[in-house]
Amino acid sequence: MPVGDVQIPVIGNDMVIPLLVVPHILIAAFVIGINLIGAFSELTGVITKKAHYDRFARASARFTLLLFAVGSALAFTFLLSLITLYPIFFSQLMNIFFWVFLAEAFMFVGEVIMVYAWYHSWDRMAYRKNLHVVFGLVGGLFGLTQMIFIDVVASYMLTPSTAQATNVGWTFFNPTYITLNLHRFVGNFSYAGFLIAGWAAWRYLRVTREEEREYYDWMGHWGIVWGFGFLLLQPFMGYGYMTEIKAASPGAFEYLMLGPKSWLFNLLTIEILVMAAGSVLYCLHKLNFAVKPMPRLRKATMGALGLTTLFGLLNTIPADGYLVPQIGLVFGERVDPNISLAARPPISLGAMYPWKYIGLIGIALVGVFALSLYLKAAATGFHWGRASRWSQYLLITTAVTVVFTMMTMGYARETARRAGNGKDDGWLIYSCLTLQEQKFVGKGCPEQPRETP
Amino acid sequence: MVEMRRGPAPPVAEGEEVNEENVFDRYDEPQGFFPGQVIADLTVSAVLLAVVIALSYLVPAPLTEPMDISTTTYVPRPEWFFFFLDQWLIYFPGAALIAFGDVIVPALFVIVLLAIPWLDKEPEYSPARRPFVVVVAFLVVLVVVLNLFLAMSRIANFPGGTPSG
Repeated sequence: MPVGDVQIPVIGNDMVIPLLVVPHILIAAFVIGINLIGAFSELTGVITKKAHYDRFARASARFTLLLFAVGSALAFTFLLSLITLYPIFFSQLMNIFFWVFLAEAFMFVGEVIMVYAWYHSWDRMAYRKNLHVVFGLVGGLFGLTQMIFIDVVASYMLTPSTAQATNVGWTFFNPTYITLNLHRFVGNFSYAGFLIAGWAAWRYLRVTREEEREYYDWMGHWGIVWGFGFLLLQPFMGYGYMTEIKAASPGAFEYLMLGPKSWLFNLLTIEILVMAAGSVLYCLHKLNFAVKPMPRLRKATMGALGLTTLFGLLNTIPADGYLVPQIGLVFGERVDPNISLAARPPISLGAMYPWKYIGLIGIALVGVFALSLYLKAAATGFHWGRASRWSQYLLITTAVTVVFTMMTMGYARETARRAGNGKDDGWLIYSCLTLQEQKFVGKGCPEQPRETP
Repeated sequence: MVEMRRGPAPPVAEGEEVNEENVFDRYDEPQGFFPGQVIADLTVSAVLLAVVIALSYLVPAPLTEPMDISTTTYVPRPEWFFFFLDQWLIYFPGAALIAFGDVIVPALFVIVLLAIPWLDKEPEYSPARRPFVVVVAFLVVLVVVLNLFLAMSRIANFPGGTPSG
């Protein structure tokens, strides 16, 4: 039987890839994030001469090494499955992206060498910290470059460039390439930050020694600063990404935002609400333990928490949700150019424009305000090791939520290619290569027209 | 005329503190405009002029086809060094917001640039000792470069203009 005809029983071929890719992405994104956060932490330790930064950086290096092999094994198994189950698709990818895959492989080698050197020379280079920190930073940059290379493929699958396959540069430079990179770059930091905070909370609840409690309390704070700080950039990055998808693959955009999968965005708004409100609430709690009491800062943060919750709840209203139209309590009227001016239906409170725009921008701006206040208090210092148990449960909740958010977003991006090719089919490469039969169509492909071999 | 400075300022001595009071005694020692500054400016100007003349001879700008006033499909594009500004039109679409994106925001930015001497009074010269302004400056350059790339990507992928709606 030809390899391409293999049919996986029970779960089917389609499910094999996500079962391998989801854990791979969850690990790979964390490795990129924690490697860079660890390196920056070591650098901060060199500058501030505070020991906990160095301790955290060393633990990050160890975590990176432990997880790297697992993530790579999953990636390799995923690649093998892709070749076996989707040979035409993989052959097409290799034809266009050979140099990308080759370069990415070398990035793996570079990252392995640098991260091993970083971890194993920790004590040996204790007096040459300025050089040692470079190992971690370069290792992190190799990891980041891996992502930048594989994003060429990931973005191409949804918004393929119309350039000829021989025009290598422009084929890579497809409409969503840059925005996807920005979105994932910010996402990696946010994801790793929240997970660091969640792990710190887990450990904080279990340790008994005073200095350990202080360390894990600080680590929770360090994680939330990265996680929440980068989360606040995501609405803008996500908007840029969706704008490009809308322009390049409008069918996929409509399927995702207006069609059968629009519930994904509603789910995302709930996840953003949990992470944003959870982070501000944590900041509010930590302000109780500022070395220099800051009652005004705390009151301002309390206001920020209220606004974050309000904006977050505004986002969660379904698209067809009205306030109380029965008694005329509505906001604004939609002037639709396609219908007569006499018909001016009220704008639903769940409408994307303007309400969800206001909600997302509001969360970002209020979040920046709250985080600035928190960092101002952090600059004067906190009494570590006194955080309450519920504040740690809050951190664990944000960590669990960020994992679901990553999965929601990953599913959204991949399922968008289900659009526009019949009910039970989809695209491996949007508008170019079909999912089930792996057949090329004559539109949107780089070399057109083309026949399936 | 004041006395010209001889060579670079000496490094900060051990134990010496540089602050707003004494920084001008060391780094900003006044120097004569003529002939020192004039010679330096003239030298750089002459070199740049020579480079431009050489480039215009070696790589002359091509003459393209004459203007067609009857076309309705022409998509105006700025020069590449204004691509980043062109990208702002995407963020502020519609007639009402164009002025905000391409006039008000850049104008505010220029005003902030002019106000930097009053906003940043840090006496140190070393970038390592002025992290705030260095980080802000880096972010500004990053935003410009990223917008340049985004605009390039948009123009390459939608040569006939970005689909509306």
